[in-house]
Amino acid sequence: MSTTTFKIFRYDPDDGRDPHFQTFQVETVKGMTLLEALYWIMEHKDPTFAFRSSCREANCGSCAMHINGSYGLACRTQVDNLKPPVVIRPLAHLQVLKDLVVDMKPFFDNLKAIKPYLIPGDDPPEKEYYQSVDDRKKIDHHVDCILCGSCYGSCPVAYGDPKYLGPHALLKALRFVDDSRDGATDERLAIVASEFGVFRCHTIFNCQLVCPKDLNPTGAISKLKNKIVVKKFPFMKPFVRT
Amino acid sequence: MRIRYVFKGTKEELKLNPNVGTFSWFLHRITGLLLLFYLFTHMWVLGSANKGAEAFNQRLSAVQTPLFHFLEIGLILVIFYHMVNGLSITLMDFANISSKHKSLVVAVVLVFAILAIVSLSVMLPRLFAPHISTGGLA
Ligand code: HEM
Ligand code: SF4
Ligand code: FES
Repeated sequence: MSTTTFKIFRYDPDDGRDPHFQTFQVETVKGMTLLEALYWIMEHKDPTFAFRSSCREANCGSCAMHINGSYGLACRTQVDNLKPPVVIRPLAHLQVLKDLVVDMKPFFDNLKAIKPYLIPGDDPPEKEYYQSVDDRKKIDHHVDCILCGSCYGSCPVAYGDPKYLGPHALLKALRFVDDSRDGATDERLAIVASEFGVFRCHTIFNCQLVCPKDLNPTGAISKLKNKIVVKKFPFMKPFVRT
Repeated sequence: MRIRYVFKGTKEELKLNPNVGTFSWFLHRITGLLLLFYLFTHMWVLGSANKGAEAFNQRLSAVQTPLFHFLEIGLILVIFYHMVNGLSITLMDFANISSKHKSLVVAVVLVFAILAIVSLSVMLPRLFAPHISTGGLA
């Protein structure tokens, strides 16, 4: 057992104080995750400390935060791998409700805007929607998003304009555009080609770097841009990769 | 319930995301704006040609001072950075090679360095020691 110093962002809307950092000495053990350390603080030091979590296994996306210079999931981060003092902040670009809990509404509103569900084509099949192994492979790299918000927090464009759809929503849009069962490709491309869509992206690569699921929203945005370009200017087909 | 926006903008963006992409984006924006500023200055100098050779020569000689020569070195570096980084972003999109970001960054730095060394080795002697590079004709 050893002691690790944590500097944690605190803000309570009801106590009248400005946002500030509070230092905690946490008794850490080998194998302890950052999420466990946060629970330790809540149980041993301050029961009013607020943060989100649920699955504890990098599956629900609740516990994303800014950890020592990068965004990530608390439950997937080993305290041993963090250089003390461990500085924890909430996700950026979203309003803070309390401590590490942010208002995710704009994030999910942006997701809803791209219609994150399958829209069938004209004639439904007799039985199930068949998808070949090869077709499924096309969406392998997009389906695993757990909507944690790390990419959104890391994206400077999301700061510049809250209406910008954001890496998470654009990655999800490609997930349906590339899905062989989906019939609304044109509609989807029109949505992401809008004023607040893919062409707002400045190719900064933060979303690709921080994604705890190793997905590539930057690449998804490029691909969508190329699909839009080819749709509008078919002669560009040989020059871009869709 | 009182909620609060604590995030402080671009400055904090650079601090919270100390990644090469954040800095190159920031630098791209700065160099883009500098180029825009240069474009207007450039037109101001060249525009004087409308008022005849005399006016043009006069305005041109106003910017042939050591200070402006020094700024020209900055200008060429700004142009190269903006151009090389801009082309790399475009290539990244067209060829969909975002997963090769690290190699792209290395390529940008290399191309930038080569362009800078070659052009400065031509430019510097002409700017500051014209008698050597042009045999005293300049
Ligand atoms: C040399 C060839 C050039 C190339 C390849 C180039 C490329 C680019 C690219 C790809 C962008 C978008 C970057 C992004 O998405 O963040 C951009 C932005 C910009 N460029 Fe250029 N550019 C060039 C020359 C110029 C010139 C001559 C000017 C000035 C008149 C200029 C001013 C700007 C400005 C102001 C921006 C906006 C920056 C921002 O919003 O962050 N560029 N350039
Ligand atoms: S793309 Fe990655 S970082 Fe972004 S919300 Fe999905 S899992 Fe999180
Ligand atoms: S608690 Fe579910 S992702 Fe961390």
